[in-house]
Amino acid sequence: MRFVRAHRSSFFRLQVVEQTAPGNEFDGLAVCESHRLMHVPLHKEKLRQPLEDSPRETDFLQKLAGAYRGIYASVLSIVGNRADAEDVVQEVCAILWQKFDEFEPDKNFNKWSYGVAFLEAKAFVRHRRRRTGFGMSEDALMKIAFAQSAGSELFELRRELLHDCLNRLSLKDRRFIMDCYDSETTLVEHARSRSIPIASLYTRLKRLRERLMGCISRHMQREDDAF
Amino acid sequence: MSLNTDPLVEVRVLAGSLFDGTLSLKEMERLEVLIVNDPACLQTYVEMVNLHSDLVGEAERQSDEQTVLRTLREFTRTCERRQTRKDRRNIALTVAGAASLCGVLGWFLIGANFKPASMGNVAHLTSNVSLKSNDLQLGQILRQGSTISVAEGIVSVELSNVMIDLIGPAEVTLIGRKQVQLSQGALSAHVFPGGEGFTVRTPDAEVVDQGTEFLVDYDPKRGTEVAVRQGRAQASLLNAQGTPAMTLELTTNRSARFNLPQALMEETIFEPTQFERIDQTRGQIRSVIGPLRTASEIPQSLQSQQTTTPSQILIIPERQNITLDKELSVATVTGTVVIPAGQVVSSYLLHYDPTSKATFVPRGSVTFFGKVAAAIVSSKALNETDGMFGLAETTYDTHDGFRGLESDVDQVQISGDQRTVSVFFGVAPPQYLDQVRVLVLAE
Repeated sequence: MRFVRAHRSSFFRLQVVEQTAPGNEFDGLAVCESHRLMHVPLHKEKLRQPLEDSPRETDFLQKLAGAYRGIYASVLSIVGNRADAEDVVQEVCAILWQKFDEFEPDKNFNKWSYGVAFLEAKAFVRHRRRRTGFGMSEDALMKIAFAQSAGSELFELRRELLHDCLNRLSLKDRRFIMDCYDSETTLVEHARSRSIPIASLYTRLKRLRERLMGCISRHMQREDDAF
Repeated sequence: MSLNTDPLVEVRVLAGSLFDGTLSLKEMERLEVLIVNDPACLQTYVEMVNLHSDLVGEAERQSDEQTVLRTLREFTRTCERRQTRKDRRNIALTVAGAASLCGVLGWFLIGANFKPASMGNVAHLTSNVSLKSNDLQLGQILRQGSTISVAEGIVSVELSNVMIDLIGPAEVTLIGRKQVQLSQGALSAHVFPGGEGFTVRTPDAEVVDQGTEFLVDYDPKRGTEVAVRQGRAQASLLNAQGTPAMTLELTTNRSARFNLPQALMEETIFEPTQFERIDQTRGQIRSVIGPLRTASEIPQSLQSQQTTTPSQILIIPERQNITLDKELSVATVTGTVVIPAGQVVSSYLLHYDPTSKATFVPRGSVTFFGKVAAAIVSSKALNETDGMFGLAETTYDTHDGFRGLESDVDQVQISGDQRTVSVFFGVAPPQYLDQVRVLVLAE
């Protein structure tokens, strides 16, 4: 832990969680006094604490990386659409970091993080529902959360199968679906760049999703039969 | 969605739309019903959500560790933006505190003169206009955020390179120089060069002009209908979050219907009659000043004392866009005018028949988009041109020797740019009727 006078003339308790390549100017992630993660530009001369010397942060990052897909899926199951899910996941990661001191090392990090994700996503939906009238009831959200939590191992298996199923698609279809799920560009932008009506894009995407779901289900059925 | 008889297929489709941000409120309700009442549907929903989540992961093309670092980096940027906003808010609060003190003092000293930016002005009203709320005057400046609520008649507003006609009952809010929100009824927009990008939003749809003339009609039950008479417009169906979800390019003589609750976007049969009301009431009129109003309906008779005008001068668009098959020589206020064969001409009759002494000053002007070729003021020339330019449904006093202007009491002038006709109608009892026929060339 070090104290560094930062660019806005206030003191920050710096805990390094990321470093760019040696020799480059350092862009560090740090926790400010309000326990919020801040992006603080520092010069490398001021850095004396490499990542491997911060076991707590390394531990957090490793655990978070292991739970990340599950957190994303938990949030997505509650908020429904991708844009909102990405905002909520960011908040969840920050909250997990803030509360990481409270986390007991012998407990299950995944379970803990999914719980935080569910509460944060539910709060988001409640707020959105009040503002726009769009969103599911508490009853439905509870059922979804339960189903999501109960099926976590099954979803791990389905994820592995998805990889195989994607490889069974033609290169063109695989590239299309990957482009559609790439977070850099929206579907409307994709349609514009390809000069195709957005409705055709949705139809093709829907068809490919159905194929993938069918492929995964058939694989699952085969695995069940093998037992 | 009702086409999907298998509820599991339906859930998969709805979950896909939810993920893409195109799910309507109605579909959301349907999805909830399926999830809450059928465990198989619930299971399918979470499987589908996990498929989306996994596909996002596959598309990231990076390890989970890299994804986490990116997420944290994005979060810190968000944090920084929030911090900046907070700093700005603190500064703003301090400044606002000081400013409000100055403001209170200033209010007493100089009065509250701050007004939102000017967006346009009221260019034209029909004779039957009635408004739901505040009064509107011809020429009145309309500012950003103003809402025009028309119970009956047509109000035309001139914005920057755009003319909109609001057809009552209707309500529109001026959001910006190039954007209006239609919350009820119909409006037609005529966009001139320089006005491209003009946008009309309704709760269902967004129509972005690309140099055109179009009509948007919104009804909460029916949805939004968009018809393009000329040019091109990009029309999009909005999702529940108010962002475009599906889009369609409409070109000349095409129309489409949009309905957000039904997630519907469909092309419909173009009905040119939708534009008739505007053609019949405003035609090529750009703006009007003074007590002039266009007729809301075609008059049955324009003979003396048949269509009286106790409080206004009526402008009656007569036959529009007539191609002259032979040269026309006509006596006008500026002498004899010859309009060559092949010219496309539209006619407007200014009609004033107060029946007794007027209670207002009958002076005003009308400006057209096209050039004024002739202002016919003599009874003889009016009678001679009724057949060519008069309305078939209307009876004219073709033998009246007094319907024209009397040179000693009436005045008619054409502006230097030949687009504006100014009139003053004097009264010479017992003959109250005055008429002027204005011939305007097509643009």
